Amino acid sequence: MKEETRERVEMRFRTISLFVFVIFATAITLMPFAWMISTSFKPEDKILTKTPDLIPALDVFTDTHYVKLFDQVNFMGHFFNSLIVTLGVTFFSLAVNAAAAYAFAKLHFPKKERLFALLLITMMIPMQVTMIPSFIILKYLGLLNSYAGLIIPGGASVYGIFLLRQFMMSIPNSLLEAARIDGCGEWTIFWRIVLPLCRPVLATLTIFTFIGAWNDFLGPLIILLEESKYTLPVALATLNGQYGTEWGLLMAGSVIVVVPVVIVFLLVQRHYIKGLMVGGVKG
Amino acid sequence: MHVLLISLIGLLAAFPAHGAEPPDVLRVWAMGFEGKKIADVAKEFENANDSRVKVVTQAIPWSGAHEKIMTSVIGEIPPDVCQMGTTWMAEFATIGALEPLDEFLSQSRDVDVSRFWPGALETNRVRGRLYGVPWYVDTRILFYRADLLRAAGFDKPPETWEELLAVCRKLKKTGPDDKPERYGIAMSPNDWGEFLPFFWQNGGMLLNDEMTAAAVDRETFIESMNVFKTFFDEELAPLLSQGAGMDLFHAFKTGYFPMFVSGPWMVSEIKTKIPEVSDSFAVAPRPGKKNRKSFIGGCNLVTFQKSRQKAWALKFIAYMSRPDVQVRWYELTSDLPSVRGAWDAEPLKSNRHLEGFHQQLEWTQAPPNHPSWEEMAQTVIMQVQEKIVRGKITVEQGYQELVDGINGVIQRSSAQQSNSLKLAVCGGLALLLILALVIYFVTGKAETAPSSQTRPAQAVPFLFPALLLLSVFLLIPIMASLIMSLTNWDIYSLMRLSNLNLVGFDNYRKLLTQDEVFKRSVLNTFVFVLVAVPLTISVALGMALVVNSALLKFKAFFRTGFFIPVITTMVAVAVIWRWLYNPQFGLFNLGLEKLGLQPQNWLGEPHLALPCLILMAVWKNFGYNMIIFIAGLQAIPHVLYEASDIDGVNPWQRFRHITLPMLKPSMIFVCITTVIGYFQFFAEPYIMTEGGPNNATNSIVLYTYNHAFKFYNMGYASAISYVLFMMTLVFSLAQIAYAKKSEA
Repeated sequence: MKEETRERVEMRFRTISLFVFVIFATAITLMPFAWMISTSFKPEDKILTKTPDLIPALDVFTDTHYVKLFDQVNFMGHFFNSLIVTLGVTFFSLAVNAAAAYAFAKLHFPKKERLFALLLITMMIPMQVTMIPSFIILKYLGLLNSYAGLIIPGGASVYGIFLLRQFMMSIPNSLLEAARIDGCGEWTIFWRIVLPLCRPVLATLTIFTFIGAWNDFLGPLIILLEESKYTLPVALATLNGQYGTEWGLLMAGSVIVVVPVVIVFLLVQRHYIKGLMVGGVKG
Repeated sequence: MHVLLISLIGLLAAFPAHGAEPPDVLRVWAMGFEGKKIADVAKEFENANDSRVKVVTQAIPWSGAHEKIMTSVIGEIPPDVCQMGTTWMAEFATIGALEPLDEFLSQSRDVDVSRFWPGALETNRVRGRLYGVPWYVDTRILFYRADLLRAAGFDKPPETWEELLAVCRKLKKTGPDDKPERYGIAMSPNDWGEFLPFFWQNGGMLLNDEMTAAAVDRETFIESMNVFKTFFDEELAPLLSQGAGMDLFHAFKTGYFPMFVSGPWMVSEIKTKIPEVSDSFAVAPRPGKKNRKSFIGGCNLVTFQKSRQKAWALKFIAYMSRPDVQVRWYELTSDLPSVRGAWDAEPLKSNRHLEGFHQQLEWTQAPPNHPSWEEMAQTVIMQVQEKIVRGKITVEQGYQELVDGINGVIQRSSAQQSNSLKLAVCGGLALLLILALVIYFVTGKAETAPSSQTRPAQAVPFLFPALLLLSVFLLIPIMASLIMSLTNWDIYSLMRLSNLNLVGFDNYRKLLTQDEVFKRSVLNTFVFVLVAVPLTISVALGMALVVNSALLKFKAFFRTGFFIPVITTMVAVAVIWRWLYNPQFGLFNLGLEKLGLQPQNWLGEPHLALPCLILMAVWKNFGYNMIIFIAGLQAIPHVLYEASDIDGVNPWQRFRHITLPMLKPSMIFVCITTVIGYFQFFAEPYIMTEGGPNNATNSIVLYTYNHAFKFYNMGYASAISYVLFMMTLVFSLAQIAYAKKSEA
């Protein structure tokens, strides 16, 4: 009896100290985010205080930056452009990368290891030197000034293939063998067995791809030749001056860009469910 | 030829078309705020021309404007009219992108070149020809707190170097333990715009008239540099690098910096951001010596050789330089008119703060209109300046480095190779690369097939889309850049392909033997990888375990909280971190003070700046890897833990013997991608320090970026990235070998 209470007290202590630690750590990671939001609601002359306060006092609270933003930028139009590009890249690349990852993880073909090593090696070249050749290729393919020019090149990524392959490799082969003996084709196995088991990592890659495509700045800027086609980050960047910066406006723009990403993250993280693999192994 | 064509088009345009012919479309690019506002003026231009032309304006963000114009020129899809920063004129004129306007300007009745501020007009002249028309001007003058100067006994702003020094010495205040409480003036030690005016005011010039060699007068340079150095030696100015950002306003308000030099935009910035001082600050022309010259910048309007609507473009450019339109433009944007006459009209005439600019425009100078100016400024002038100020070299040594550096940038090999030879060699190289790929796949021992194998044909449809896309958009560009690294592809080859020469391994030789900045970048990158990779991975793993712990409630909330740094926009992150590191009132120094320790100049000290960026990078990036670890943890079968509970193992053993081995696939992925990603360390120094102070945070990819997009040295940039590639490869192979060894 005594033993049990001590264990309980210890448990409670551990729970509480963990909680305190996590709250503290979250404060550190959230602080800039909170400041970004609070600044976006402060008038320009109240931003530059010695210590930035996180909650704007009610008497200085203002929505002028947002009003100005919506006034100067066709928000809905650019938001829609961003959505098309981002969803296009996310779904297209998820499909392409998952298929390739399956081949690398679970199918047999000659020189698999070498091909994979070659792909990994290409990650080591910074995009800064391949950007101009890629741009010229896009021009010759007639893909400039189109969303296809943003979606198609983003379709395959070595990072995505590598990530999915790593997780698919941990799926027991016995599971797939059983399905093959039952007469399932490779597409059925891929679609019905492998993909559902990969839900957590697919969720992860979805978030990463979404963030990458949503925040991409240089790509849309050089590929799109009409202002009405701009994605949201590019359109918002046109509001910044060459020298001076309107902090409130800048932060309001940042908030608007970030909110959809947070929503996607909250939606997608439902898929981090425990013990997906258990049923598989037992079955 | 061009002139003939233009006048022909102009002639055609002069006759109004019959019937309902659609108007011509004129594409106009302008940057940022100007890009938004130009639509209003464009409408008026359309009306003035009876709607025979339709102006389509496109606003280009300032960040990325250079890349945007450069790619549009290379892709041969430039706009008809474009706003062009004055320091970009020489490069775009040299690559043959811009249409020369001398004939047009000498014949035009609409544009009278004598109307412009002479300094502004000169920014359009490259090798004797005019390539644009001034649009608006910008010059840098002295901003000062009149109340503080008065309190210190100065009723008028300083007009000479001696007076400036005297004012600064009087204003400077130090508190206990020599802690500065007030400086004399804010100045950046590594900004060429801060030093060159001193040099110009002393009658100095950088290049000879033909711009073929450095023409720096030794005595003039030494005298100007000694004065510049005095401000830092006597701590009249702080040793801060560029990127003071929002600190400047706060410091100006509190009087920490009672003076600084800046441009016209600053007047309205001060009024809106720190209205408390809007009555007590004033502006005046720069103090000087032989003259009171300051930098002139601003923007010009240009049209391109490949533009479609040149006649309308010229009309539009002429329209924008009309005095009445210039005044209208000032009302819309507060951009200062490039036409003298506009300054005598209201509302400019009665604006108290414009007086200083008006006077300063009489004494201005632009940096030399040389196509490699940007490279000269960043790799030579700024380096020399900072090394002298920080006492790494003497002023005399600095003079020699400056002259040698400038000459090194200017001189190019003029060897000509025959085009067919070059084509053959490049083709040969491409074939060689393909051959290497074939050999790579043919050799190697056959892989042992798994016991029950699928047929290779079944893999094809799964692989095909990815491999096709990767070949077109990754493999071909990589091969192109590899060949490029063996050439001298630079700004002159963009102009004419026959200037492109194969130079073998020259780029690599220069890089590995002579380039000090590159060596420093390599060192920084290695330090960054060796410190930040283990830190990021361990924090990520730790946080993933914490968030996954059975003891924790509200998992989704904390998971999101830890991921937020990844999501938060880089600009917001940069602002906050700069504030944390602020030497005057940042949180880190506040903490040190509480502990009774000496406050630090975090981003300004060479040995502190890199650790500061490492901390920031870990904070910003650990969330990525954390999410991957979380996904990996979900994949660990629960039965394993249940079994261990029965056996009564402690948490550490459970982590060591179950969690860690089961996380191996994610661990391998995270290690390899983090190493590769961190070798390409770029965003943090790019946005926070621009590689400074004194190159202490320069990274290999930042250096690549500068050569590729700022200096046009594509060949050299490619070579840099292949050296990076080799280092990453060796490092990754060692990593894999180590992983295999520890496994055995």
